[in-house]
Amino acid sequence: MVMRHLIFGSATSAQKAKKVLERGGMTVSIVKTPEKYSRHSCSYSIRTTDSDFALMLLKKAGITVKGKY
Amino acid sequence: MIYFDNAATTYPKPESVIAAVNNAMKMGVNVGRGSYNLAAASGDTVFSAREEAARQFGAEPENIVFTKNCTEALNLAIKGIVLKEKRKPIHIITTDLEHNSVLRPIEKLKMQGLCEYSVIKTGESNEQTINSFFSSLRRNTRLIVMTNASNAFGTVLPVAKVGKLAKERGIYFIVDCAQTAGNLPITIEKYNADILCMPGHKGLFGPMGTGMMILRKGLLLETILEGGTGSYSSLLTPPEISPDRYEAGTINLPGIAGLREGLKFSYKNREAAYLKEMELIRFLYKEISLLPSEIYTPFPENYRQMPLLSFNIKGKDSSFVGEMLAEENVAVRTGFHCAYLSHKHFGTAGIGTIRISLSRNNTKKEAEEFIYRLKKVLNKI
Repeated sequence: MVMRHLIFGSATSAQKAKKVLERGGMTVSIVKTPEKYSRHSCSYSIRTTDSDFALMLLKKAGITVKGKY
Repeated sequence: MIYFDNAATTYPKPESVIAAVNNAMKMGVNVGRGSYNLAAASGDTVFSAREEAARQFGAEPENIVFTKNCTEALNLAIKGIVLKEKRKPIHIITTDLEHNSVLRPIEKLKMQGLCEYSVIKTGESNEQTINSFFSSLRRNTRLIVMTNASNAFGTVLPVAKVGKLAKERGIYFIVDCAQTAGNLPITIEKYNADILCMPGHKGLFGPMGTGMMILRKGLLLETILEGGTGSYSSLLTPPEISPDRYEAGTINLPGIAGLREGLKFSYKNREAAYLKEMELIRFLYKEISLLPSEIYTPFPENYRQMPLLSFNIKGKDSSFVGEMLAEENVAVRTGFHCAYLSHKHFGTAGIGTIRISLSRNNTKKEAEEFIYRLKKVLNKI
């Protein structure tokens, strides 16, 4: 399984996304985004093994992802 | 001790609140700065407090902004709106029952040439109050700020109707929920509000040093405090996302952990608790009116009044009676309650009042004992 990361602007937006994914049955964790992927520095990402499913759940919940790596 | 000063802060706090604060002091680290286990756990605590508040007040979690008290929330809200308006001075409408946490920021903005304001006289009926708002409207009215209930006299104002009036005219609407959060059912939508401001430590039973500014979705304010947010660090301007934009610096994790528990505590049986407190305040009203006293508000009715009563003993200074009650181990507040205009409204500007304010902790036995001790004081003076 490939680990993918979904990028969010702030810790709070990552937390909100994490809750949505956990309610959808996923196990995810929040990590600091490596600076090379972070547009304005200091952002947070969700680490997941199923980014496609995660993106689908987040889209349904109206949550925007800033990028992925 | 008989504690009847819950409008200042509720006491005692629930055990769950105290335990949450203690736990956060032992285990808590800074939130939104690192991604190690302790930071993740602290982040979870804060986010779940946002979720709980969002659920109760009809907002999104990211639009729950934690502040140190209601005063800070009101300053952020009022100044955040005024500073964002391009055409100044703007006109603000507020009421004669406001606390200084509303009046002083507005007066400061006026002194800076950023606003002009009207103070409407609240009426005996909601209709009179709403008519006063209508007649104060001007072409450049851009903000209405009003209290949900007077902290000195307990009068509940028709905020939802005023909010509707504001919304129809594209006027921003801020509600000071200091005396009603945790007691009345409040949502952003129900009140037609742009912003709700509230303390965490009164009706919500959280620790002192906590409060919230709750924003309607999509609202962006100017900032009055800038600093590190743990996000968007390469920008020299505050991020344009909530809550980061308004929570510069380290937040009060122990306070917020306690507030989360307070939110849960106060939500349980909220209506039943409020109705019980109103029964007690009606009992006290009747008993006090049999003494040589003056009470300034009508007989308390549910939802027209909070469980709060201001009175005086005829011919006696309120602070003096308050001191005598303190010797009898009774906690009340005396004086002007940081709301001088409300005293002008009710005719007590020269003398102040003795204020009783209840919470769900108070009992009929305490109310009876209060009357007994008050009579004891009256016999001495």
